This record gives sequence, C-alpha cells and structure tokens, in this order.
Amino acid sequence: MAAVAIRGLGKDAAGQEGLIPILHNVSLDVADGELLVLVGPSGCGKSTLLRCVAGLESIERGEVQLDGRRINELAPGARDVAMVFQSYALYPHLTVRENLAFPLRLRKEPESEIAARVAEALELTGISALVDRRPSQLSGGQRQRVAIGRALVRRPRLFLFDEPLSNLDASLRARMRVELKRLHARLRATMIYVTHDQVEAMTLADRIAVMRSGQVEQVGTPRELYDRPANLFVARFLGTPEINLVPAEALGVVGATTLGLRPEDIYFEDRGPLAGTVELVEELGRTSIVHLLVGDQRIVALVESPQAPQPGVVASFRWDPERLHRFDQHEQRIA
Amino acid sequence: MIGTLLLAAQVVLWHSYREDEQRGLEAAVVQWNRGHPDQAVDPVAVPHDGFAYKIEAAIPHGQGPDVWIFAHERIADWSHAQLLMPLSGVDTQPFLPATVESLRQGGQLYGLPLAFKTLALYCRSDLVPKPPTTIDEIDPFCRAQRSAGRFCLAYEAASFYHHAPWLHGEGGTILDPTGRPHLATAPAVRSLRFVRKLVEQGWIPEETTGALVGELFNQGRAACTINGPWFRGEIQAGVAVTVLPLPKHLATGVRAAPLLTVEAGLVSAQAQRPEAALAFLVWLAGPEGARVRARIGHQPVAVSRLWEEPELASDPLLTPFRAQLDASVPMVSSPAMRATWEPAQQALRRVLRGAFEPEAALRDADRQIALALAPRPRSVSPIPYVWIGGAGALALLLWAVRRMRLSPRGPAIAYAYLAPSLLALLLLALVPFAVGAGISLFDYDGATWRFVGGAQFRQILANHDLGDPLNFYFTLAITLLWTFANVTLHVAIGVLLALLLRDPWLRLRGLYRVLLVVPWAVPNYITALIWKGMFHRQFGAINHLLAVLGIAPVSWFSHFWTAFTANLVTNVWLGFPFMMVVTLGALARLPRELEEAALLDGASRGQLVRRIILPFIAPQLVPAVVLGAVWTFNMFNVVFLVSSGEPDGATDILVSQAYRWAFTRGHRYGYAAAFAVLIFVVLWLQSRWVRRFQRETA
Amino acid sequence: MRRIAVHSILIAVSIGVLYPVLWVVKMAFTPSQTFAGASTSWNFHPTLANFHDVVSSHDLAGRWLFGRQLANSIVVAFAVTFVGLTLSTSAAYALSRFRFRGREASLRAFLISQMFPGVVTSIPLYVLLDRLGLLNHLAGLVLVYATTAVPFCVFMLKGYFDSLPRELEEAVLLDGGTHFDAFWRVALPLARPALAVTALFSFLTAWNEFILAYIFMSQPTAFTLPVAIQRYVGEYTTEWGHFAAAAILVSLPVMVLFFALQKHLVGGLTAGGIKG
Repeated sequence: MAAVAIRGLGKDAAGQEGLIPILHNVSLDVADGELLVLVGPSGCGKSTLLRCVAGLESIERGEVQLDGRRINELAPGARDVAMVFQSYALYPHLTVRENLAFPLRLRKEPESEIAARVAEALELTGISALVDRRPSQLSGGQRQRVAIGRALVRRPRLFLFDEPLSNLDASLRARMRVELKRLHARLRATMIYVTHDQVEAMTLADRIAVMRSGQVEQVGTPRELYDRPANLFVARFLGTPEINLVPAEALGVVGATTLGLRPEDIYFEDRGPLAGTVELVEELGRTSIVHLLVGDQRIVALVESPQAPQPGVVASFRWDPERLHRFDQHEQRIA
Repeated sequence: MIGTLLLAAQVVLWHSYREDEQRGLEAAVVQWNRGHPDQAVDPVAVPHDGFAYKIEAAIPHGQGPDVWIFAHERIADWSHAQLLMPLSGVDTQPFLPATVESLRQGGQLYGLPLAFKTLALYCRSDLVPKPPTTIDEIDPFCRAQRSAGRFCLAYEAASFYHHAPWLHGEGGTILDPTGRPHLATAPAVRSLRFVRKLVEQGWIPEETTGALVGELFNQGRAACTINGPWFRGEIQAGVAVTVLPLPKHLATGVRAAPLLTVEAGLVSAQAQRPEAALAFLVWLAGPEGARVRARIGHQPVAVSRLWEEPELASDPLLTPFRAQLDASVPMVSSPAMRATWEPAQQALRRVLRGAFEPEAALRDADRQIALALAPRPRSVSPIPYVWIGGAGALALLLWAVRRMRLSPRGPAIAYAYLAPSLLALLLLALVPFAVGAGISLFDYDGATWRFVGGAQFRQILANHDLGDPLNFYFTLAITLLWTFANVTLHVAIGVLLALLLRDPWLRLRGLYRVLLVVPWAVPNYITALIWKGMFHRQFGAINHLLAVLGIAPVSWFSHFWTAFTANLVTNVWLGFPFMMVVTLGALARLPRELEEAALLDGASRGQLVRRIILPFIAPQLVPAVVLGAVWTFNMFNVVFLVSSGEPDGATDILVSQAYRWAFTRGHRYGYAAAFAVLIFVVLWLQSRWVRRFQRETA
Repeated sequence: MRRIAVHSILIAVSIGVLYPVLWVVKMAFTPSQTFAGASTSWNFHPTLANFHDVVSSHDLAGRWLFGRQLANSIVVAFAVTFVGLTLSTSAAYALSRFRFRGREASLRAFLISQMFPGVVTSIPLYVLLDRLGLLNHLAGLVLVYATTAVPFCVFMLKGYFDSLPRELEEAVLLDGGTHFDAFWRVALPLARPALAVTALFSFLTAWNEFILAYIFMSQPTAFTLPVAIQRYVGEYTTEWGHFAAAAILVSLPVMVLFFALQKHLVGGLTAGGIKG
C-alpha cells in the first residue's frame, strides 16, 4: 500500500477567453491505508484531480508523489493504481471473467496466478455466479461489483473511485456504500474516492477534502469538518438538513458577520430566547424537521418527533451557544 | 511445346480480337513461332475498351507492346505523338491499294493492313428470296415485309457510321474537298429524309443497338440488316443468310458507300527488337499469315491475290465485302473528322426522333463543329503565372502554418497512427491531383504540351448561352440536380429498408439482406447496360410494364426529363444498397433501452423513427452522405452507359463532359483537366457549405 | 399483421431489385451470345456452356487465365481490405482520440482526395507507379485501391470511434496497457459493425475496378477479373453470354462475403458496457 502526496497541483483548460484554471495550487496528503473522499459540487475539479493522480490528465504545475516518489511523468499503467469509473467502463465484448482477467493478461501474469486472483476478486465482490455473462446481461449493481472486482484483482497500491455509485438507485447505493466501507476495512488499502454526495462522503471517509472551483477548502475527518467547518461553503455543504445561516446581529452576537447553527442544535423550550411561527413539519419517523419563520428569517430545526411543535403555532426555542459557528465578513471561521 | 516456344518470346503483340479472329491470329502466331523460334511472338489479348488509352500511356514509358493491331483511324494521332515506327522498305504490292493508302501519313507508311472492315447487307434467305439491290427497291420491299409483320431492315440507324452509306449514296460527303466538315448539304438532307421515312413508316426498329439488331435478326423479326463482317459470329446456327453489297441508286448508279476501316498491324517506336517485330508483321500481313487468318478467323484480309484463291472466293459471307470495298469511302483520321462525329450523330438522332427538320439539325451540327474546331488558345508566357502561383502558394503556406500554430501540438503517437495513410494519400491521390491541375494550364495537341495559362478556363466559363446543353453552367445545374436527387433517394430507400431489416424477429432477414445488396455486388458496367435495355422504347421491360398498366410507351431517351429519370432510376438502384449497409451498421449501435424507453413513454412507431432513431443515426450517416454526394457528382458510368447524355448531351454531367473532351472530342486533355479543376472547385465549395450548415444546426 | 406488411414490402422490393439481375442470369445460361434484353420470353434451354467457356479460358501457352485472374482478384481484394483497414483504422483512431496540430487539415485532405475526377489523374498515377517500379505489380494496384478506399473508411470509423466511450480505453491505460492495447484490444473489437461495412467497401472497391487495373497491368496473367470480363466486349460486338456468366462469377464471392459479414453488422455490442 502507499501514501499519496499532492503538491501545488495546477491545471488550466482552454476556454473561450483564454485559459481557465480547473485546479489551483492543490495540496493534499493521503496516508497509507486511508480512504480520502474528494467532495464538492459538480465542476469543482475533483474528478480532474483524481484523473491527474491516475495519469489520465497531464499535470501542468506541481507534482503528485506516490510513496515519496514523483509520478508526474509516469504512464497511467506504470503507476500501479486502479480506477473504478462512474460509467464502470466494463469491456462489453468480454465476459465477467475476462473483464477481471484483462488487467492481469496485459501484465502477462501466469495463467494459474490469474485464475487464483480472479477467483479471489469474485469472492470478495460476491459475483462468482456471473462469471460467464457479458456486461449487457448484468444489472447496474452487478456491473458495479464487476468494476470493483476488476480494480481489486490488480492489487494496486492505490484505488481511485470516480463517483462509482451515482448511477445506482438510492437503496442500492446505500447497500453498496456499506460494502465499500467493509471492503476498505478488510483490505486497509489506500483509496481516493470522488463524489458529489455529502452523505457518501460522511459515511465512507476516513478524511474528507471539500473542493470548490479548483481549490481545496478544507481537509479533515468527517467529524472535524462537521463540527468545525473552515468557512461558510464547507458548513453549507455538509449536513442535512443544511446548516442555518443567520446574520450575527439577529442573535445579538458581536465580533462575527454570519452565524451558523446546525438544525439538530436547536431545542424547543417554552422560554427560549427566540420564537418563530411553525410553517411546516416534515415527519421522518424518529425525528422531524421543523421549518420556522423568525421575522423574515427562515430557520430549520431537527428534533425528536415528540418535541416537534404543531404547524401554525408560535414556538420559542434555544440553542447551544457552544455549538454556534461564527464566520467573518470573508465567510471564514472565527476560532 | 508451345509453352517453351513462348518462353523465348522476343516480340510482344497486343490485340483485342475475340473468338474467330482471335483463333485465326493465334493460329498464325503458332505457325510463325514454329518457323522462327528465335523471333517468337507472344500474343497478348487485351480488352478493346480502353485499348488506345493504354497504348498512349504505356509506349512513352517503354511499357507497351512491340506490335499491336488497331483500326487505322488513330494513325494520324499516333504518328504525330511519335508512338509509331515508320515502316520503310516494305513491299506494299501484295495489298489491296485502298487498304494501304489509309495507312500513310505525310507520305510515310505507318502500318501494314491486316484486314478491312466495312458494311454490307445481310438478309435471311428464308424470309427474303430476292434482296433489294437498288435504293428504289427498298420501298416496296419494306412494305411487303411490314405486311408480313417484320421489320425489313434492322441496323443502328442512329449511329452516324451506319448512316454514312446513305449520305454517300446520295452523292454527299462528310468533308468538303479542303478537308473541312460540311454537313448541311442537299444530299445529307435527302439521306436524313430517307431514313426518317423508314422510321416513321415503322419499317425499321427505333433506338437500335448492335445487340438488338442481332436479336431481331436471329428471331426472324427483321428480314435484313446492314452490318459488318463481325456479324457473322452473331448469326445463330441454322439461320441461312445471304450477303450482298449495299444497294445503289438506279438513277445515278451511285452505290450506298459505307466507311472503310483498315485494321492495321503497327510497330511501336519503342520496340525492343524492331527488325524482328517488322519481320513478323510483314509475314502476318502477307499471304502466309493472311491465309491462316482468313481460313480460321474469317477475316476479310487485305492481300489481293488471296481473294482469288478458292477458299476465300467461295466464302459467300466474305466475298460481298471484297465487292463492297470498291464502293466504300476510307475513313479520314484528321482532327476535323473526329470533331464531326458527335454533332453529326446528334443531328441524326434529332431528326429520327422528329425533334428537328433535317436542314436545321445539320446547320446546328455545322455550327457545333465550327465551335469544336475553333482555333486553340494562343501560347502565353508562363512567367506571370509562375509568380502568381508562387506567391499564392507561399501565402497559403503561411496561412496554414499560422493556423496550425493555434492548435496544440498533440502527442507524437497520433502522428504515428496517421502518418501511413496520409503518406499514401499524399503520394497516390494528391500528387496526381496536383499534376492534373497543372495540366489544365496547358493545351495538348496529341504530341506536345503548350502553356496557355487560364485560357481554357475562360473558354469554358465564358460560354453564357444557357440554351446550349454543352454550356458549363447548364451542365453544372444538371449535375447538382442529379446529385441531390440521387443522394436523397439513396438515403431514403437505404434507411427505410435498413429499418425494415432490423426487426430481430423478422424471418429470412439474412436472405433479404443478401438479395438487396446484389446491385452493389454485380459490376455496374453490366447492370447499367441491362437497365438501358429495359428502357428501350419498343422492347424494354419498363414500357411493357407501362403497357400493362394502360400507359402509352415512352421514348425514354428522347426527352430530357425521361432520360434523366432513366439515369436516376439506374443509379438509385445501384446506390441504395450501400446506404442500406451503412445504415444497418449505424442501427446496430442503437441502444435497445433508448427505444424501449420511448415506447414506454407512449411514442408511436412513426414517432419512434422520427424522434429517436433518425436523430441517433443521422450523425453516423453524415460521412456516407457527404462522400456519397461527391461520388454521385462524379458518377460517370451510369450517365455514359444509360443515356449517353441523350437527348443532345442534356443529361450529361460535368464529369462525362470532361471525359468526352479527353477521349471522344479529340484528345483535349488540358481542356478536360480544366473541367476537372472546375469540378473540384464546385465540390469543394459544396463541402464548405455543408460544413457550415452542419455547424449551424449542431 | 405488421409482419405480413413488412414481408410484402420486402418481397416486392427484392423482386424489383432482382429483375435486372435476372436478365444477366438468363443471358449467362443461354448458349447464344446475343443480348437477351429485348425478348421477354423465359423459354430457353439453360446450359452451363458460358460458364464453362469463361472458367476454362487459357492462353496460347496453356496457362489457365481464369484461375490466375481469379487468384489475382482475390489476392488484390483481400490485400486492399487488409491494407485499407490497417491504414484507416489507425488514422481514424488518431483523428478520433487525439487533438493535435494538423488534425483538421488531415480530415479535409481525406475528403478532398475524393473530389478530383479520375479522368485526368490516371496518367500522372501511371507515371508515378512507373517511377516507383510498381507498374505491372499487384502491389501497385493494392496501394492505389487502398488509397481510394481509405477516406471513406476513415470517416466511417472515426464516427464510430467518436461514439465509443473514452473510459473504456482509459481503463486499459490504467490497467497497464499501452495506447496500442486500448486500440487493439478494446476499440477495434467494439468497432466490429463499422469494420464490417468498411471491409466490404474496401473489398468491393478493389474487386470491381476495371480501368486502372487494365492500364497498370500488361500481362493477361496479371489482370484482375473485371479486366478479363471486359475482354468479352469487342470493338464491334459483345459476347453477352460470356459477359453475363463472368459477371455472375464475379458477383458470387461478394455475396458470400456479405453473407459472412452481415451478422457483424448487427448486434449492438456496446450496449451495457457503460452506464447502468
């Protein structure tokens, strides 16, 4: 396994008015055995960054190191990394078995070795029954497993996942997420995982890197990012329902411009410092999402269902001041 | 035994003889080789079509034969182009004088006569007890045959070669005493009236081709035919035939005199061993060779005393030609004569189909001949052209380099993948192209190239007479119409059939696919001829079909739109399988999910095709359509073989015009090249327009 | 019901399409050498005489011309298919997959090369082949035909490669393959329908060509079949029976080839390889 270091990576694309930066001075470290998730809205450069690591995109500035060795100039195949594509990229003309064996055949491994490793990958991904089918005869989830199996069979130093679950339906996505997590736990392999889905990011990641417009906004464990978002963007990006952002003066707080308050940090209480009209209540089962209107400010709260007020009433509430996030006029966190 | 003799072959002989004539020639060669093992001859049989062109290409590069056999009318060109070795010291005494005279050019003898070809009257003995011997007898004879339900005479009435006897019989000539063509004469008018009457009375069949003549004659649907010695091989076994010279005018005593062609043995100026070649030729043309050729090949040979030998003198199918020889007019091989053929033929056809009075048609023909014989452009100094061309090339190069700079260099591997095909393209397509374009600035007179600059372009483009079918702009319009109509139909039919053939549950799918691709598989020069036959006014299958539907027969090649339709039908038939196959390939990529989704969304089949399938395959068809348009634009075979430009060259397209200038209207290669350059310019503009259109709609 | 309609349309079209061909068949089986186009009668005694004559044509030295010409045709057509596809698949792949200087210009050159009418290029080509020493060699013909066929094949294949997902080839690169592996092991097998079309096209370009084969070859033993067929068209008369029989003999291999290729035309191979 291997550690990845990305140093000052930069890349431009030719646009209609000259060059547009896609990646801007990106630096990141991925520890050996770690699962790092790159998350961000579409177009933020996370896939490009992944493809730079894979060698599918040329690197214009900065460098990528694998175990301390610069790999900028290495061909993709020589980097010993495996990638699972969003579209799976299974070879349509080959059966499942041939798809899995393909990377090993390219490397001219002995046939006995190929057979053993294909069997192992089939076992790991649970698709042994499908070996003689072609991709067109598989369901989406099965294709996904084949794609993962094809990456596994290589035993690469680094796994790259490019939005691998985005073509699956919600329940299947949830299941595959767990399986991936389990797989990572079992293999303890270094993985970089790209997604635009913050739930996927939160649940899978050892650490998350949030990206915006070609830059890394913050890197940290899911907990760190959730509890101490470095700026408004990160704060807004992680967590459902989304964090409440209110002007500091509305809560009478000085020394900050904007305040962030997670919905689950709001508690309804008879004598709370603030009150709002309950517009709407979304029942989720154990919890409920309560939409409040305080003046012209919308506030969303997440509470245990029994505590949720009725729609239409004026409910007063309080919050945990310890958990109030303060941001300055540059949208940066105030420590 | 023969094989070993041929291995030592010293003299290569090219000929295009078939059947009897080939057997006769080869028997003679075998006999010669037996007696002259050190001067052995290798006879090479080549197709007649394109023979002259091959000679002209091969001999200057030392690739040609030592001896070849060809009709004498090319001798003027070939001696001028110095392809022929002048024969000196050959005794011409044994030959019939008329045959030798045709082989002299500027006092030099350029070949030896092997045989002569001319026309005579063939009649079926069972149907015609007493063939007409005078022109005045033709009238009652034809009436009698007509009432017996037969044509009295079947011959290629619309060919000027076959018409020439009547012209001469009326006392007319093609060339005036100064050697200039003059067609609008009283005898010519009389001869046209005479033939028009034969057609109008229904005595002779319309739109006759050589193939049709043979068939009518063999079936007994025509009593007589005017034909050459070659017709002997076409007469079916069991048909008794009388051959006699063409009839004469009772009043004037002038005989209908056909044109005389002499088949000559010619020696190449580049012959490896000229003395051996000449020795063989003298033997082959002389009594010994001629005897074999006459006996086995049934050739009307040119050695006079052989006609007194019993073998030839007793052949009733040959002796009439010997008699006819004395009443024939040697074909002149001057450029003036060559320029006469097409206009004369056109006049003849116009009169026969009743579109023109003989006088008007002949006057028009004279006008066209004058145009074709107009003085060639003057030589000009190439220096300004070199400067302009050089500056233009430099500017183009700079422009290209600047444009290239704008795009990124790209990976070296891309060039490695592309280089072999680009190299082949550059060498084998673009270089010949550049040379061809260069030729357009020169005038070729058959031997030498003269720099004339843009004069030929001016000549082509300056003719604004839009009523003249030979006008560039008129032909261009026809060509565009032709291209558009063809491509539209190719795509429509091809796509429709591909859609029908896609259905996976359709039985016999494979069989249909193979059957429908047959038109592409059979060589198009034979199927085009079949189609021409099917469009025949009297005997074609199309008119038979129309008759069943109660529609009057159509003279397909007499009117522009019908002739155009005939070409179009043929070319659509030839071209749709290609589009069908391309569409099948494109449809193979259509994801089934796409279709299923649309059907689930409640799309009807029509909507499915229009909204889903066609937009999906359209981009994949673009290359086939663009290239298909280019190929159709230059589709020479169909136009040339089916309508041959009829009526009056109106259905000719640009490339068939270019072909005519290069090969049939005299060897104006430079002029044809100018045409080709213009064709290229039009296509190039068209492709730019298509690209813009594509970009705007994309 | 719909199936009956489809069959009736197809049968009607097939009859219309085959009608002219039936005349060729009739002439081929009729012993005489006259043209059958004028008589609508199908009443004749079929014989194989014409086929026999065509197939057994020998030259004076006893060499079996038909056999050699058939062999030439087959060699040339397959070589053209091979060379043409080799040149055009690699060129099309480069044009589809890479962005590089001169790409647009190359595409245009392929198109332009089809625009110049052959009327004036055959003589320069003759001189060129003579200089290259390829006159009278089948290799010269192969090169010329392949060059003629390449532009269409390039456009056809480029369109096809364009529609293949790039991820498949990127996967190969990541799996340790070279660009060539991506091209050879993935792009090419997936382009089978387009390869089938272009193979058929290249084959036919070579198989039916007459005039260049005639001009460039000087030995009857080096002729291809179309030149041999043209031998039956004489200066004054045409041996229609032989001509037709030869035409049929020439067409049969094409039909067999098409039958073999047609299953590759269909099949939707890429379906399911990408997306869910």
